This record gives sequence, structure tokens and C-alpha cells, in this order.
Amino acid sequence: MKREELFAKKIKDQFGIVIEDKLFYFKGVRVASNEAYKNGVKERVLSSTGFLACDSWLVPSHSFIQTYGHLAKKNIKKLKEQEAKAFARGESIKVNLGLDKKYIIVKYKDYILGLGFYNGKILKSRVPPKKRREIINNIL
Amino acid sequence: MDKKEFLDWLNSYTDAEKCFAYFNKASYFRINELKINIEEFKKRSILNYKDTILEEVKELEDKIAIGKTWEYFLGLIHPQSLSSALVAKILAPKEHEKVIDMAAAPGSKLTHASALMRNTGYIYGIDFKDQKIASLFGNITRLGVVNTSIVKGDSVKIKLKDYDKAIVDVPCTSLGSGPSAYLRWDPSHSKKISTLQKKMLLRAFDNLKEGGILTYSTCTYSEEENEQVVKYLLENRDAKLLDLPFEFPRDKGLKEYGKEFSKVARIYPYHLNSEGFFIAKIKKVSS
Repeated sequence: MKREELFAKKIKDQFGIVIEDKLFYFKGVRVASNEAYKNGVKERVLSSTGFLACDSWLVPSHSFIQTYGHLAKKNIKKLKEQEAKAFARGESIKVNLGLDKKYIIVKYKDYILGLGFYNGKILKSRVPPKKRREIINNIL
Repeated sequence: MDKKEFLDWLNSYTDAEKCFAYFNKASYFRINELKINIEEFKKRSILNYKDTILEEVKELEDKIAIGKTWEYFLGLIHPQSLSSALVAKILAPKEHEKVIDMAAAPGSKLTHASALMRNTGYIYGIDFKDQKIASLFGNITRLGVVNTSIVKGDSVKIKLKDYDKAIVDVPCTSLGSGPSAYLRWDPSHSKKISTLQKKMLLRAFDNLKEGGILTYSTCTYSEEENEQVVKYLLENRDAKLLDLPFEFPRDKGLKEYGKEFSKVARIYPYHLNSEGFFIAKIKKVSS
């Protein structure tokens, strides 16, 4: 199975996110529209087309979750304000989700904060440090 | 240049005191329709805002920095002046078209065009400064734009063909951008920079297919950077000025350039309570 197919399967299994084939093309770890991909290849600018979809372990990137997280149907956790602040600071949060170890899409109200990893007892923030600073400095 | 000299100069175009009275009075944001539709935004956002002549652009009523809101962080909104948002709206790129942005960073017009195209088609954005490109990347990622390639380079030298539309928002003396811009300006700056503006406009025009359309825009008032640049294109290529697709408060182009220039928009701060701008819509006709 190709890398982009593996990623598409993974986000569908984990979060129920289905990306329409005709709209998006995954090449390696980048996500771009089909038309942008075709034109980018033609003009040899693919490396600057779209944005990173995932890391080398196929874990979705913060940008990907921010852009497509609203399509998720499962493994979503809504936090309260104090928990959201702690999550944004990069702190782990003790919660009982009744789930095994897995990645969770973390929300505050209807806003997607980013990805968290739940190890069965605590939820660890996967929001990149630079983005955490952005939230802490600008929002909280 | 001191303020009196500048006011005298600006008075040759419009009411200068009135322009100063309206500078920087309002702050605007654009709802990013790639991430949220306007009705949904109205239900969810806690910001206080007023409607404007453009459905997707709102005037912020709260005394807060737009960049410090949840909505900004999540890419639901982008700070953009009302005048600036008119550029992509006037160009009106359609789904599946190919668009070139000749001076893309920081990406307000490019990301607006992407939203109008619903993330389909293709936008080729060029800029030449690393720092500006970094902020452009930040914006396209935050706003969820996936139909765009960003290229570092000299837009005058990059030759492309058969593009449907072009955004030509050129570097300018920015006299419309704020009340103190004139302090670092004298009329010779406009003459110098207009050479680059003419080259960029011609290059963008040559990148279009026959029937292709571009918008030429600046955030300044001097005719050397506005009417003269457009006139240069009309004299050197098979180009035609188009009527603006909708009405809004504006002045027409300067009369001495002919009746045709009534189709361009000179926007002064008091027209829209926003930045000063010049916008022309131009079509490439069959040779």
C-alpha cells in the first residue's frame, strides 16, 4: 500500500475522517489539492505546495488536524476552560476516557486545539511548542 | 516631506484633511470560508462586529487585537482591510482556474482568492523575501489553503503561460496605509518604483492566456504608481480596462488620463473608512 493510502486509511480508522479522492492527493507527507499537485509537478514546485500532512510515523500534523479535524466523527475530547489552558501550556491532563492508548482530537467549545495522546490515564498535548507559545502568549 | 507639503500634494487629488480624519479608524477581518461558513461563524463567534459592503469582511467593534483571538488562531478569520479585500473580490477567480499572485506575501489577497475558488484550481504565489515568505506559509497553513504553491523568486523574471487570472498588488510607496507614511516619502520615490511596477504588470499580463483578467492594485495615491502604470500597459499590450463588477464608494481615475480611466477605483480612507487604495481590472484581448 502506498504511503498516502496508508495515511488515508489511518485517519479514517482513527477519527472517521474521510478525504474525497478527487479533492486531495497525498504524496509522501504533503497534502494538496489534486489540481495544485498536478500543476506543482509540472512547474517543479511541489515541495512548496500545500502543507505537511503527517510525520514519518503517519501521525497527523497540527496543521492537518486544524484544517480537517472538523470532519472527525470519533476519538474527540472536549475540554473545559481550565483543562484547555493546561493543555495549551503542554501539560498532561488526568482524564478517564474509557479508551486504550490512542491519539485524540482535542477541542475547546467547538474549536479544535490540536492532537493529544491518551495513554489510558492521562492526555498528553501534541500541540507543537511554537503553537503552544502562540496560544499562551496571545489567547490565554 | 513635511505634513504641509504632503497635504498640498494630496489636495491635488482629493480632500487631504478628510483623508487624515479617517486614517486607521477601523479594524477589519475577513471570515475564512475555507474553514467556516458565514452563518456558522455568526452563531459561534463571541466577537462583536459590524457588517460591511462585503459579506465576508466585518468591522471589529471590540478594542482587541485580532491576532490575539481564538478565531484568528484557529484560522476562522484573517485580519484584512476592507479596501484590500476588494482586490480578490473584483478579480473574482472561479473554481478550477489558474491564478498567479505576483507579490504574494503576506498572503491576504492570495488566501482570499483561494477561499473564492473553494480551494480548487491552482494559485502560483511569488515573493522574494524569506521573512515575508515565512509569514505567507504561516497564513496559508493556518487558513487551510491547499491549492497553492509558493515560490521564492523575482516575479519579473518568472515566465509562465496560460494563466486565467493574476493578482498584481505591487510594492508601492504605501501612502494610503497610514497617517505617517508620508514622512518617509518624496515624489521621486514614486517615479523610481514605478519602473518596477510597470515591469511586474507587463510580466503578469504576458503570463495570462488570451481573455485572461488581472487586477492591478496599490495602496498609494500617486499617479506615477497608478494611472501611469496602467496607461503604460494599455499602450504596450492588447489590454482593455474592464468595468468594476459591483458598485462601492470610490473616486474614478484621474480625468486627464481619459474617459476609459473612469473604470478604475481610487479609494480614499473616507470612502470606506479603510486604507487608501487604487484598483484597476484589466483584460487581455485577442491580438
